[in-house]
Amino acid sequence: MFNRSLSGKWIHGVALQLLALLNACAPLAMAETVYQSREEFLSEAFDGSPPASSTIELNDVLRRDAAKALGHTPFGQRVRYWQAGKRSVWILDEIGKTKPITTGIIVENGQIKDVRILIYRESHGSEVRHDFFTDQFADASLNEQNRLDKSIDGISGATLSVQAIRKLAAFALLLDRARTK
Amino acid sequence: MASGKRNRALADFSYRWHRRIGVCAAAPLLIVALTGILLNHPQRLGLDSIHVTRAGILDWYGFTPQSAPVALHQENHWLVLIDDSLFLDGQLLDDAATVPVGFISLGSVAVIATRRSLYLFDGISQQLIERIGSEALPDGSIRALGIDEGRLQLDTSAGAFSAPIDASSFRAEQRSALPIAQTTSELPNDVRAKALAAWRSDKLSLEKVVRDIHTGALFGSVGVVLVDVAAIAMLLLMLSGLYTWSKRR
Repeated sequence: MFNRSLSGKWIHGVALQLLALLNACAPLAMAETVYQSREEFLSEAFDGSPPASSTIELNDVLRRDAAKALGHTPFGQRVRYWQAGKRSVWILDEIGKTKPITTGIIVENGQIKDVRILIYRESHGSEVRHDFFTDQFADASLNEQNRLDKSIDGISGATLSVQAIRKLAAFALLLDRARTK
Repeated sequence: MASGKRNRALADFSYRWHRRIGVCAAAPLLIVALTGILLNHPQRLGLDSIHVTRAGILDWYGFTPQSAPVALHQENHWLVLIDDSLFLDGQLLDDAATVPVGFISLGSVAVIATRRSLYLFDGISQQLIERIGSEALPDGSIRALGIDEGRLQLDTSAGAFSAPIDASSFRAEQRSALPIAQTTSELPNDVRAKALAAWRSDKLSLEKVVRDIHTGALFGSVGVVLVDVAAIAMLLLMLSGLYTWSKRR
């Protein structure tokens, strides 16, 4: 015969075990994932011969504009980049939800040529690494309000990661513009 | 007639229990409803960017580092790595850092080396000048950091390198005397407490606390069961309310 008290306890017990299992898996899910090393990205961006790096100082104007693009004061007083001809390459970090997303951005003639997620450290939202998302940034540049002149579609469940990459794209374009002035 | 009396008795029974359940479940349902409204607008309300710093709540959640802190010190300045967060005198330098291997001062500038990064810190403005990642450093992981003849000296697994103070470029060196790796320091209690407080300051978002209140998880499995009971009570209120309404029309 069906025993209501035992079945109720059984269901509750199973639910608790599932919850514990999910919690146990959480630390594993937080490990960093390297999709491409920074060195490999630079090599690819410059056909195997990356130039020596340069730095650009974040003066007051650039810092102010960058703060608007990022939603916070940029970290550090200068940013390192690599440049050959009209191409500049930036490797930047921005917090998604709690951890930085390391992103490589190629800018040429004031337009984004490529966005690549190099290192992802969050437990959710890594869909931003896929081409269907990063390809949206191709040929994006800055409008008069220093925002991207293209609409970038979001990804359900990766809102903060999407926002982080959008911010970095605008930041890279600002840096490139300042570099060429 | 008998069925009419029975229906009225059932309606009265339903109404009485509707009141009882309503009174008993009012408080938890109010909490679930209010937290649910907040959770519908987390970014607009900034719940995900506000972090809880109250020690009592952080202790309740049990935020403790997964590994023992690693510290280096230079004069009265402390560099502390807690899990993957690197702090200099309690200020966050990097939250994806590796083990620090060197910490030297050059006038007002502090140079910090971890296995795969260099940090230049301006002691006057108390700001990070630059974090130099592996892509701009010599190959290999850094083992020790030193200074000689006005140049930074790096001992890496790929050999010895030197750089100007701003670390703008590196050249290989044939050195017989390599920088000696700094030994980690024993953390004084006050420095440990300050570093731990800084480490915990961004661990718990207000959104998570609100969500845990909403689901009852803040109080463990007991809280979850209580919220389940409140949800069942809401269902019973709906059913009893509809039934009472239909019979009293």
